[in-house]
Amino acid sequence: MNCKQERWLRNEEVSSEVPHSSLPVRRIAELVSRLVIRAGVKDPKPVAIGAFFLVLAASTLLFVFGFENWLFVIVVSALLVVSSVLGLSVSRIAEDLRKRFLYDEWLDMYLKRIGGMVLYTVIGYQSWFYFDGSVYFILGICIGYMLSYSFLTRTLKKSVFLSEIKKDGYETHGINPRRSQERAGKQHGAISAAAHGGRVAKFLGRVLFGVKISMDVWYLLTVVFILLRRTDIVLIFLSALFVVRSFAVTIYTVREIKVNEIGVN
Amino acid sequence: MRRIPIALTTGFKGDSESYYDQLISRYISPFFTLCAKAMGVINPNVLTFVSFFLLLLSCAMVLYRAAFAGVFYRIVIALLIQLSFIIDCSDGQLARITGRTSKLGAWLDRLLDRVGEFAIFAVSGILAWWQTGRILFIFLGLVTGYGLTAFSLAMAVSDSCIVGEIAKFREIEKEKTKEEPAKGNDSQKEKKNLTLVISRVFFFLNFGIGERYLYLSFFILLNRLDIMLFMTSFLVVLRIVSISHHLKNKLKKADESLRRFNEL
Repeated sequence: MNCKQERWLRNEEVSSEVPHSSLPVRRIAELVSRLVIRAGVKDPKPVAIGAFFLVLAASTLLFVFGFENWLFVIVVSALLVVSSVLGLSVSRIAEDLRKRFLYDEWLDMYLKRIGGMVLYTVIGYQSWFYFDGSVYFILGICIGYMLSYSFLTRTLKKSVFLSEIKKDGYETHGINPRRSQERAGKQHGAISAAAHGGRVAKFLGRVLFGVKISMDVWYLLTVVFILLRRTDIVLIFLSALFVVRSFAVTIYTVREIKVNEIGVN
Repeated sequence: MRRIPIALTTGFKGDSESYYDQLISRYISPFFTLCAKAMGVINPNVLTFVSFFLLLLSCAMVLYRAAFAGVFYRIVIALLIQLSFIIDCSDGQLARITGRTSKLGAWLDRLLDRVGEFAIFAVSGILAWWQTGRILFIFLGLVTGYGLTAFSLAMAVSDSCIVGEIAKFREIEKEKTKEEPAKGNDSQKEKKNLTLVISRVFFFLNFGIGERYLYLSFFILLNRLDIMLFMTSFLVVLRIVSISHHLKNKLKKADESLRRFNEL
Protein backbone atom coordinates (compact mmCIF):
# COMPACT_ATOMS: atom_id res chain seq x y z
CA MET A 1 0.00 0.00 0.00
CA ASN A 2 1.47 3.33 -0.95
CA CYS A 3 0.94 6.90 0.07
CA LYS A 4 -1.80 7.67 -2.47
CA GLN A 5 -3.85 4.73 -1.41
CA GLU A 6 -3.18 5.44 2.20
CA ARG A 7 -4.30 9.02 1.75
CA TRP A 8 -7.44 7.79 0.08
CA LEU A 9 -8.16 5.54 3.02
CA ARG A 10 -7.45 8.35 5.43
CA ASN A 11 -9.62 10.83 3.55
CA GLU A 12 -12.46 8.37 3.67
CA GLU A 13 -13.33 9.82 6.99
CA VAL A 14 -14.96 7.40 9.38
CA SER A 15 -16.67 9.95 11.51
CA SER A 16 -18.27 11.75 8.64
CA GLU A 17 -21.04 13.09 10.81
CA VAL A 18 -20.12 16.74 10.90
CA PRO A 19 -17.94 17.20 7.79
CA HIS A 20 -20.70 15.86 5.52
CA SER A 21 -23.53 17.57 7.33
CA SER A 22 -25.57 20.36 5.89
CA LEU A 23 -25.05 23.99 6.83
CA PRO A 24 -27.84 24.27 9.44
CA VAL A 25 -26.55 21.16 11.19
CA ARG A 26 -23.02 22.58 11.26
CA ARG A 27 -24.38 25.87 12.65
CA ILE A 28 -26.22 24.00 15.41
CA ALA A 29 -23.05 22.04 16.19
CA GLU A 30 -21.00 25.24 16.41
CA LEU A 31 -23.53 26.92 18.66
CA VAL A 32 -23.89 23.95 21.00
CA SER A 33 -20.15 23.46 21.10
CA ARG A 34 -19.68 27.06 22.21
CA LEU A 35 -22.39 26.71 24.87
CA VAL A 36 -21.03 23.42 26.18
CA ILE A 37 -17.48 24.73 26.38
CA ARG A 38 -18.69 27.89 28.09
CA ALA A 39 -20.51 25.68 30.61
CA GLY A 40 -17.10 24.33 31.63
CA VAL A 41 -16.96 20.99 29.83
CA LYS A 42 -13.36 20.14 29.08
CA ASP A 43 -13.72 16.75 27.46
CA PRO A 44 -15.97 15.52 24.63
CA LYS A 45 -16.36 12.06 26.24
CA PRO A 46 -19.02 12.99 28.81
CA VAL A 47 -21.03 14.68 26.06
CA ALA A 48 -21.02 11.50 23.92
CA ILE A 49 -21.86 9.32 26.92
CA GLY A 50 -24.54 11.79 28.05
CA ALA A 51 -26.16 11.75 24.59
CA PHE A 52 -26.17 7.94 24.68
CA PHE A 53 -27.79 7.77 28.10
CA LEU A 54 -30.43 10.28 27.04
CA VAL A 55 -31.36 7.97 24.14
CA LEU A 56 -31.47 5.03 26.55
CA ALA A 57 -33.67 7.01 28.95
CA ALA A 58 -36.00 8.02 26.12
CA SER A 59 -36.18 4.40 24.91
CA THR A 60 -36.94 3.15 28.44
CA LEU A 61 -39.73 5.69 28.91
CA LEU A 62 -41.16 4.79 25.53
CA PHE A 63 -40.94 1.09 26.33
CA VAL A 64 -42.73 1.49 29.66
CA PHE A 65 -45.36 4.14 28.87
CA GLY A 66 -45.78 3.92 25.08
CA PHE A 67 -47.51 6.61 23.04
CA GLU A 68 -50.72 6.79 25.07
CA ASN A 69 -49.70 9.41 27.60
CA TRP A 70 -49.03 12.86 26.09
CA LEU A 71 -46.79 13.90 28.94
CA PHE A 72 -44.37 11.04 28.37
CA VAL A 73 -44.47 11.53 24.62
CA ILE A 74 -43.34 15.12 25.13
CA VAL A 75 -40.64 14.07 27.64
CA VAL A 76 -39.33 11.39 25.27
CA SER A 77 -39.25 13.88 22.39
CA ALA A 78 -37.42 16.44 24.49
CA LEU A 79 -34.83 13.87 25.56
CA LEU A 80 -34.27 12.80 21.98
CA VAL A 81 -33.91 16.39 20.78
CA VAL A 82 -31.30 17.14 23.46
CA SER A 83 -29.51 13.89 22.67
CA SER A 84 -29.47 14.65 18.92
CA VAL A 85 -28.17 18.14 19.42
CA LEU A 86 -25.45 16.92 21.78
CA GLY A 87 -24.63 14.03 19.44
CA LEU A 88 -24.27 16.38 16.50
CA SER A 89 -21.87 18.55 18.43
CA VAL A 90 -19.49 15.94 19.86
CA SER A 91 -17.05 16.10 16.95
CA ARG A 92 -17.20 19.87 16.92
CA ILE A 93 -16.61 20.06 20.68
CA ALA A 94 -13.60 17.75 20.30
CA GLU A 95 -12.21 19.98 17.55
CA ASP A 96 -12.80 23.18 19.50
CA LEU A 97 -11.18 21.73 22.61
CA ARG A 98 -8.37 20.31 20.48
CA LYS A 99 -9.01 16.93 22.01
CA ARG A 100 -9.73 14.80 18.99
CA PHE A 101 -8.61 11.46 20.38
CA LEU A 102 -9.07 8.03 18.84
CA TYR A 103 -10.82 6.70 21.93
CA ASP A 104 -13.34 9.55 21.98
CA GLU A 105 -13.99 9.14 18.28
CA TRP A 106 -14.54 5.41 18.72
CA LEU A 107 -16.82 5.91 21.72
CA ASP A 108 -18.92 8.49 19.92
CA MET A 109 -19.45 6.37 16.80
CA TYR A 110 -20.01 3.16 18.71
CA LEU A 111 -22.50 4.52 21.23
CA LYS A 112 -24.50 6.26 18.52
CA ARG A 113 -25.10 2.97 16.72
CA ILE A 114 -26.03 1.10 19.89
CA GLY A 115 -28.41 3.91 20.86
CA GLY A 116 -29.99 3.81 17.40
CA MET A 117 -30.50 0.05 17.59
CA VAL A 118 -32.24 0.30 20.95
CA LEU A 119 -34.39 3.31 20.06
CA TYR A 120 -35.79 2.04 16.77
CA THR A 121 -36.45 -1.43 18.17
CA VAL A 122 -38.46 0.11 21.02
CA ILE A 123 -40.34 2.42 18.64
CA GLY A 124 -41.17 -0.61 16.50
CA TYR A 125 -42.30 -2.56 19.55
CA GLN A 126 -44.65 0.18 20.76
CA SER A 127 -45.97 0.77 17.24
CA TRP A 128 -46.90 -2.91 17.10
CA PHE A 129 -49.44 -2.35 19.89
CA TYR A 130 -50.44 1.19 18.99
CA PHE A 131 -51.19 0.44 15.32
CA ASP A 132 -51.96 -3.24 15.89
CA GLY A 133 -49.49 -4.65 13.39
CA SER A 134 -46.48 -6.83 14.16
CA VAL A 135 -44.96 -5.65 10.88
CA TYR A 136 -43.99 -2.39 12.61
CA PHE A 137 -41.91 -4.28 15.14
CA ILE A 138 -40.11 -6.07 12.31
CA LEU A 139 -39.55 -2.72 10.56
CA GLY A 140 -38.15 -1.26 13.79
CA ILE A 141 -35.74 -4.19 14.14
CA CYS A 142 -34.73 -3.81 10.48
CA ILE A 143 -33.99 -0.10 10.91
CA GLY A 144 -32.03 -0.76 14.11
CA TYR A 145 -29.99 -3.44 12.43
CA MET A 146 -29.44 -1.61 9.17
CA LEU A 147 -28.12 1.44 11.02
CA SER A 148 -25.27 -0.80 12.15
CA TYR A 149 -25.10 -2.81 8.96
CA SER A 150 -24.19 0.13 6.71
CA PHE A 151 -21.57 1.25 9.18
CA LEU A 152 -20.24 -2.27 9.70
CA THR A 153 -19.89 -2.71 5.94
CA ARG A 154 -17.77 0.41 5.64
CA THR A 155 -15.67 -0.17 8.74
CA LEU A 156 -15.05 -3.84 7.97
CA LYS A 157 -13.61 -2.75 4.64
CA LYS A 158 -11.07 -0.61 6.45
CA SER A 159 -10.47 -3.34 8.97
CA VAL A 160 -9.61 -5.72 6.13
CA PHE A 161 -7.16 -3.24 4.63
CA LEU A 162 -5.62 -2.38 7.98
CA SER A 163 -3.72 -5.66 8.04
CA GLU A 164 -2.43 -4.85 4.57
CA ILE A 165 -1.17 -1.46 5.68
CA LYS A 166 0.53 -2.95 8.73
CA LYS A 167 2.04 -5.81 6.74
CA ASP A 168 3.29 -3.51 4.02
CA GLY A 169 5.22 -1.68 6.68
CA TYR A 170 7.45 1.27 6.37
CA GLU A 171 9.52 0.46 3.31
CA THR A 172 7.07 1.14 0.50
CA HIS A 173 7.60 4.86 0.71
CA GLY A 174 11.30 5.25 0.49
CA ILE A 175 13.06 2.34 -1.20
CA ASN A 176 12.26 3.07 -4.79
CA PRO A 177 10.45 6.39 -4.99
CA ARG A 178 10.05 6.31 -8.77
CA ARG A 179 8.46 2.88 -8.80
CA SER A 180 6.36 3.88 -5.87
CA GLN A 181 5.14 6.94 -7.78
CA GLU A 182 4.26 4.85 -10.80
CA ARG A 183 2.29 2.47 -8.65
CA ALA A 184 0.62 5.39 -6.95
CA GLY A 185 -0.44 6.82 -10.31
CA LYS A 186 -1.94 3.53 -11.42
CA GLN A 187 -3.77 2.99 -8.18
CA HIS A 188 -5.06 6.52 -8.07
CA GLY A 189 -6.40 6.05 -11.57
CA ALA A 190 -8.13 2.86 -10.58
CA ILE A 191 -9.64 4.42 -7.49
CA SER A 192 -10.85 7.40 -9.50
CA ALA A 193 -12.36 5.01 -12.00
CA ALA A 194 -14.34 3.39 -9.23
CA ALA A 195 -15.34 6.69 -7.72
CA HIS A 196 -16.23 8.50 -10.92
CA GLY A 197 -16.41 6.02 -13.74
CA GLY A 198 -19.28 3.86 -14.87
CA ARG A 199 -22.98 4.60 -14.69
CA VAL A 200 -23.71 2.05 -11.99
CA ALA A 201 -20.90 3.31 -9.77
CA LYS A 202 -21.99 6.91 -10.28
CA PHE A 203 -25.60 6.14 -9.53
CA LEU A 204 -24.77 4.10 -6.44
CA GLY A 205 -22.38 6.79 -5.27
CA ARG A 206 -25.16 9.33 -5.48
CA VAL A 207 -27.63 7.10 -3.67
CA LEU A 208 -25.08 6.30 -1.01
CA PHE A 209 -23.94 9.83 -0.31
CA GLY A 210 -27.32 11.36 -1.03
CA VAL A 211 -28.80 9.59 1.96
CA LYS A 212 -25.69 9.97 4.06
CA ILE A 213 -27.27 12.10 6.71
CA SER A 214 -26.13 12.12 10.29
CA MET A 215 -27.92 9.72 12.62
CA ASP A 216 -28.85 12.58 14.86
CA VAL A 217 -30.82 14.13 12.03
CA TRP A 218 -32.78 10.87 11.77
CA TYR A 219 -33.53 11.20 15.46
CA LEU A 220 -34.89 14.71 14.93
CA LEU A 221 -37.09 13.47 12.10
CA THR A 222 -38.28 10.61 14.29
CA VAL A 223 -39.14 13.03 17.09
CA VAL A 224 -41.50 14.92 14.80
CA PHE A 225 -43.39 11.72 14.03
CA ILE A 226 -43.39 10.62 17.68
CA LEU A 227 -45.03 13.94 18.58
CA LEU A 228 -47.61 13.41 15.84
CA ARG A 229 -48.03 9.81 17.07
CA ARG A 230 -47.51 8.58 13.53
CA THR A 231 -44.44 6.42 14.04
CA ASP A 232 -45.83 4.02 11.42
CA ILE A 233 -44.93 6.58 8.73
CA VAL A 234 -41.40 7.08 10.02
CA LEU A 235 -40.87 3.31 10.33
CA ILE A 236 -42.01 2.62 6.77
CA PHE A 237 -40.07 5.58 5.37
CA LEU A 238 -36.84 4.84 7.20
CA SER A 239 -36.90 1.11 6.55
CA ALA A 240 -37.43 1.68 2.81
CA LEU A 241 -34.65 4.24 2.79
CA PHE A 242 -32.27 2.02 4.75
CA VAL A 243 -32.93 -0.99 2.53
CA VAL A 244 -31.92 1.08 -0.50
CA ARG A 245 -29.01 2.53 1.37
CA SER A 246 -27.74 -0.83 2.61
CA PHE A 247 -27.95 -2.23 -0.88
CA ALA A 248 -26.09 0.74 -2.32
CA VAL A 249 -23.45 0.65 0.42
CA THR A 250 -22.82 -3.06 -0.14
CA ILE A 251 -22.40 -2.80 -3.91
CA TYR A 252 -20.34 0.34 -3.68
CA THR A 253 -18.05 -1.20 -1.04
CA VAL A 254 -17.57 -4.36 -3.12
CA ARG A 255 -16.50 -2.18 -6.03
CA GLU A 256 -14.11 -0.21 -3.87
CA ILE A 257 -12.53 -3.34 -2.41
CA LYS A 258 -12.08 -4.85 -5.86
CA VAL A 259 -10.41 -1.74 -7.17
CA ASN A 260 -8.16 -1.43 -4.16
CA GLU A 261 -7.23 -5.06 -4.34
CA ILE A 262 -6.01 -4.52 -7.89
CA GLY A 263 -4.01 -1.59 -6.55
CA VAL A 264 -2.48 -3.59 -3.71
CA ASN A 265 -1.54 -6.50 -5.92
CA MET B 1 0.38 -33.02 -1.58
CA ARG B 2 2.42 -31.66 1.27
CA ARG B 3 1.10 -28.20 0.83
CA ILE B 4 -2.53 -29.03 1.32
CA PRO B 5 -2.55 -30.05 5.01
CA ILE B 6 -0.49 -27.00 5.98
CA ALA B 7 -2.79 -24.67 4.11
CA LEU B 8 -5.81 -26.39 5.58
CA THR B 9 -4.74 -26.22 9.17
CA THR B 10 -3.62 -22.59 9.25
CA GLY B 11 -5.46 -19.34 9.14
CA PHE B 12 -8.04 -19.80 11.86
CA LYS B 13 -8.17 -16.28 13.10
CA GLY B 14 -10.23 -13.88 15.14
CA ASP B 15 -13.74 -14.82 16.00
CA SER B 16 -13.54 -18.40 14.79
CA GLU B 17 -10.48 -19.19 16.87
CA SER B 18 -12.22 -21.12 19.63
CA TYR B 19 -12.09 -24.48 21.36
CA TYR B 20 -14.72 -25.92 19.08
CA ASP B 21 -12.70 -24.91 16.02
CA GLN B 22 -9.47 -26.22 17.44
CA LEU B 23 -10.86 -29.56 18.58
CA ILE B 24 -13.55 -30.46 16.09
CA SER B 25 -14.28 -28.33 13.04
CA ARG B 26 -10.62 -28.08 12.06
CA TYR B 27 -10.65 -31.82 11.36
CA ILE B 28 -14.00 -31.91 9.58
CA SER B 29 -13.86 -28.86 7.33
CA PRO B 30 -10.84 -30.06 5.27
CA PHE B 31 -13.04 -32.88 4.02
CA PHE B 32 -15.56 -30.37 2.67
CA THR B 33 -12.79 -28.21 1.28
CA LEU B 34 -11.32 -31.10 -0.69
CA CYS B 35 -14.80 -32.16 -1.82
CA ALA B 36 -15.50 -28.65 -3.08
CA LYS B 37 -12.18 -28.63 -4.89
CA ALA B 38 -12.87 -32.04 -6.42
CA MET B 39 -16.27 -30.78 -7.58
CA GLY B 40 -14.55 -27.96 -9.41
CA VAL B 41 -15.48 -25.13 -7.06
CA ILE B 42 -12.44 -22.90 -7.08
CA ASN B 43 -14.01 -19.63 -6.01
CA PRO B 44 -14.10 -19.57 -2.18
CA ASN B 45 -16.79 -16.88 -2.21
CA VAL B 46 -19.19 -19.50 -3.58
CA LEU B 47 -18.70 -21.48 -0.36
CA THR B 48 -19.27 -18.33 1.70
CA PHE B 49 -22.60 -17.79 -0.04
CA VAL B 50 -23.57 -21.47 0.26
CA SER B 51 -22.89 -21.33 3.99
CA PHE B 52 -24.95 -18.13 4.32
CA PHE B 53 -27.89 -19.55 2.39
CA LEU B 54 -27.85 -22.74 4.47
CA LEU B 55 -28.14 -20.59 7.56
CA LEU B 56 -30.99 -18.61 6.02
CA LEU B 57 -32.66 -21.89 5.09
CA SER B 58 -32.44 -23.06 8.69
CA CYS B 59 -33.94 -19.70 9.78
CA ALA B 60 -36.82 -20.22 7.38
CA MET B 61 -37.33 -23.77 8.66
CA VAL B 62 -37.37 -22.52 12.26
CA LEU B 63 -39.97 -19.89 11.37
CA TYR B 64 -42.03 -22.30 9.30
CA ARG B 65 -43.03 -24.82 11.92
CA ALA B 66 -40.22 -25.63 14.34
CA ALA B 67 -42.35 -24.62 17.34
CA PHE B 68 -44.54 -27.66 17.05
CA ALA B 69 -42.33 -29.93 14.95
CA GLY B 70 -41.10 -33.40 15.76
CA VAL B 71 -37.60 -34.56 16.57
CA PHE B 72 -36.69 -35.37 12.97
CA TYR B 73 -37.49 -31.82 11.80
CA ARG B 74 -35.38 -30.36 14.59
CA ILE B 75 -32.48 -32.70 13.81
CA VAL B 76 -32.52 -31.45 10.21
CA ILE B 77 -32.37 -27.82 11.39
CA ALA B 78 -29.51 -28.58 13.80
CA LEU B 79 -27.58 -30.38 11.07
CA LEU B 80 -28.13 -27.53 8.63
CA ILE B 81 -26.71 -25.05 11.14
CA GLN B 82 -23.65 -27.23 11.72
CA LEU B 83 -23.17 -27.79 8.00
CA SER B 84 -23.36 -24.05 7.43
CA PHE B 85 -20.63 -23.49 10.00
CA ILE B 86 -18.35 -26.20 8.62
CA ILE B 87 -18.70 -24.82 5.07
CA ASP B 88 -18.01 -21.36 6.48
CA CYS B 89 -14.70 -22.75 7.79
CA SER B 90 -13.95 -24.34 4.41
CA ASP B 91 -14.05 -21.14 2.35
CA GLY B 92 -10.83 -19.81 3.87
CA GLN B 93 -9.12 -23.14 3.44
CA LEU B 94 -10.20 -23.39 -0.20
CA ALA B 95 -8.92 -19.86 -0.78
CA ARG B 96 -5.53 -20.80 0.64
CA ILE B 97 -5.08 -24.07 -1.22
CA THR B 98 -6.18 -22.58 -4.54
CA GLY B 99 -4.18 -19.40 -3.93
CA ARG B 100 -7.28 -17.25 -4.30
CA THR B 101 -7.22 -15.39 -1.00
CA SER B 102 -8.64 -11.92 -1.41
CA LYS B 103 -9.66 -8.89 0.60
CA LEU B 104 -13.12 -9.12 -0.90
CA GLY B 105 -13.44 -12.69 0.34
CA ALA B 106 -12.29 -11.75 3.84
CA TRP B 107 -14.73 -8.86 3.96
CA LEU B 108 -17.63 -10.89 2.58
CA ASP B 109 -16.96 -13.74 5.00
CA ARG B 110 -17.03 -11.50 8.06
CA LEU B 111 -20.03 -9.50 6.91
CA LEU B 112 -22.21 -12.49 6.03
CA ASP B 113 -21.24 -14.19 9.30
CA ARG B 114 -22.61 -11.24 11.21
CA VAL B 115 -25.81 -10.95 9.17
CA GLY B 116 -26.46 -14.71 9.39
CA GLU B 117 -25.83 -14.75 13.12
CA PHE B 118 -28.21 -11.88 13.70
CA ALA B 119 -30.89 -13.62 11.62
CA ILE B 120 -30.61 -16.97 13.40
CA PHE B 121 -30.62 -15.53 16.92
CA ALA B 122 -33.51 -13.18 16.16
CA VAL B 123 -35.46 -16.12 14.75
CA SER B 124 -34.58 -18.21 17.84
CA GLY B 125 -36.09 -15.43 19.95
CA ILE B 126 -39.30 -15.59 17.93
CA LEU B 127 -39.42 -19.37 18.27
CA ALA B 128 -38.93 -19.19 22.05
CA TRP B 129 -41.71 -16.57 22.18
CA TRP B 130 -44.08 -18.88 20.31
CA GLN B 131 -43.22 -21.76 22.60
CA THR B 132 -43.47 -19.91 25.90
CA GLY B 133 -45.78 -17.02 25.06
CA ARG B 134 -43.35 -14.56 26.68
CA ILE B 135 -42.21 -11.61 24.61
CA LEU B 136 -39.09 -11.35 26.77
CA PHE B 137 -37.49 -14.01 24.57
CA ILE B 138 -37.78 -11.89 21.44
CA PHE B 139 -35.80 -9.23 23.27
CA LEU B 140 -33.23 -11.77 24.48
CA GLY B 141 -32.83 -12.97 20.89
CA LEU B 142 -32.38 -9.39 19.78
CA VAL B 143 -29.89 -8.69 22.58
CA THR B 144 -27.80 -11.65 21.38
CA GLY B 145 -28.11 -10.74 17.69
CA TYR B 146 -27.50 -7.03 18.14
CA GLY B 147 -24.80 -7.77 20.71
CA LEU B 148 -22.80 -9.93 18.34
CA THR B 149 -23.08 -7.23 15.67
CA ALA B 150 -22.08 -4.58 18.19
CA PHE B 151 -19.07 -6.67 19.17
CA SER B 152 -17.82 -6.81 15.58
CA LEU B 153 -18.69 -3.17 15.11
CA ALA B 154 -16.60 -2.20 18.13
CA MET B 155 -13.53 -3.88 16.71
CA ALA B 156 -14.08 -2.70 13.14
CA VAL B 157 -14.62 0.90 14.27
CA SER B 158 -11.47 0.73 16.35
CA ASP B 159 -9.52 -0.46 13.29
CA SER B 160 -11.10 2.29 11.23
CA CYS B 161 -10.03 4.94 13.71
CA ILE B 162 -6.50 3.59 13.56
CA VAL B 163 -6.46 3.58 9.73
CA GLY B 164 -6.84 7.35 9.88
CA GLU B 165 -3.66 7.64 11.91
CA ILE B 166 -1.67 4.85 10.35
CA ALA B 167 0.99 7.08 8.84
CA LYS B 168 1.74 8.54 12.24
CA PHE B 169 1.87 5.06 13.75
CA ARG B 170 4.61 4.07 11.40
CA GLU B 171 6.67 7.00 12.63
CA ILE B 172 5.94 6.01 16.19
CA GLU B 173 7.01 2.43 15.57
CA LYS B 174 10.25 3.74 14.15
CA GLU B 175 10.82 5.92 17.20
CA LYS B 176 9.96 3.03 19.51
CA THR B 177 12.74 0.87 18.13
CA LYS B 178 15.21 3.58 19.12
CA GLU B 179 13.81 4.02 22.61
CA GLU B 180 14.61 1.73 25.50
CA PRO B 181 11.62 0.00 27.08
CA ALA B 182 10.35 2.17 29.92
CA LYS B 183 10.05 0.68 33.41
CA GLY B 184 6.60 1.13 34.86
CA ASN B 185 5.88 2.19 38.42
CA ASP B 186 3.60 0.32 40.85
CA SER B 187 0.35 1.92 39.76
CA GLN B 188 1.13 1.09 36.12
CA LYS B 189 1.88 -2.50 37.13
CA GLU B 190 -1.44 -2.72 38.97
CA LYS B 191 -3.20 -1.45 35.88
CA LYS B 192 -1.38 -4.01 33.76
CA ASN B 193 -2.45 -6.80 36.14
CA LEU B 194 -6.05 -5.66 35.95
CA THR B 195 -5.87 -5.60 32.16
CA LEU B 196 -4.38 -9.10 32.20
CA VAL B 197 -7.19 -10.43 34.40
CA ILE B 198 -9.81 -8.80 32.19
CA SER B 199 -8.19 -10.15 29.03
CA ARG B 200 -8.20 -13.66 30.58
CA VAL B 201 -11.87 -13.31 31.44
CA PHE B 202 -12.40 -12.15 27.90
CA PHE B 203 -10.59 -15.21 26.55
CA PHE B 204 -12.72 -17.47 28.73
CA LEU B 205 -15.87 -15.81 27.47
CA ASN B 206 -14.71 -15.81 23.89
CA PHE B 207 -17.20 -18.39 22.85
CA GLY B 208 -16.58 -18.23 19.14
CA ILE B 209 -18.97 -18.59 16.29
CA GLY B 210 -18.53 -22.40 16.40
CA GLU B 211 -19.62 -22.64 20.02
CA ARG B 212 -22.55 -20.35 19.41
CA TYR B 213 -23.83 -22.54 16.60
CA LEU B 214 -23.17 -25.63 18.70
CA TYR B 215 -25.32 -24.30 21.58
CA LEU B 216 -27.96 -23.31 19.10
CA SER B 217 -28.12 -26.76 17.47
CA PHE B 218 -28.08 -28.47 20.86
CA PHE B 219 -30.92 -26.42 22.31
CA ILE B 220 -32.96 -26.68 19.10
CA LEU B 221 -32.69 -30.46 19.48
CA LEU B 222 -33.83 -30.18 23.10
CA ASN B 223 -36.54 -27.71 22.03
CA ARG B 224 -35.45 -25.38 24.87
CA LEU B 225 -34.29 -22.22 23.14
CA ASP B 226 -35.48 -20.18 26.11
CA ILE B 227 -32.62 -21.53 28.25
CA MET B 228 -30.11 -20.88 25.47
CA LEU B 229 -31.27 -17.28 25.00
CA PHE B 230 -30.79 -16.50 28.69
CA MET B 231 -27.29 -17.90 28.52
CA THR B 232 -26.18 -16.37 25.20
CA SER B 233 -27.59 -12.92 25.89
CA PHE B 234 -25.80 -12.84 29.25
CA LEU B 235 -22.52 -13.99 27.68
CA VAL B 236 -22.82 -11.50 24.82
CA VAL B 237 -23.33 -8.60 27.22
CA LEU B 238 -20.27 -9.68 29.21
CA ARG B 239 -18.34 -10.05 26.00
CA ILE B 240 -19.22 -6.52 24.90
CA VAL B 241 -18.20 -5.10 28.26
CA SER B 242 -14.86 -6.91 28.13
CA ILE B 243 -14.09 -5.97 24.51
CA SER B 244 -15.02 -2.35 25.23
CA HIS B 245 -12.56 -2.35 28.10
CA HIS B 246 -9.90 -3.94 25.93
CA LEU B 247 -10.41 -1.45 23.09
CA LYS B 248 -10.47 1.43 25.53
CA ASN B 249 -7.00 0.46 26.72
CA LYS B 250 -5.78 -0.11 23.19
CA LEU B 251 -7.03 3.20 21.85
CA LYS B 252 -5.85 5.14 24.88
CA LYS B 253 -2.41 3.68 24.37
CA ALA B 254 -2.58 4.72 20.73
CA ASP B 255 -3.64 8.21 21.77
CA GLU B 256 -0.75 8.40 24.21
CA SER B 257 1.70 7.34 21.49
CA LEU B 258 0.28 9.94 19.13
CA ARG B 259 0.55 12.63 21.79
CA ARG B 260 4.20 11.73 22.37
CA PHE B 261 4.79 11.74 18.64
CA ASN B 262 3.27 15.21 18.30
CA GLU B 263 5.46 16.47 21.13
CA LEU B 264 8.64 15.26 19.42
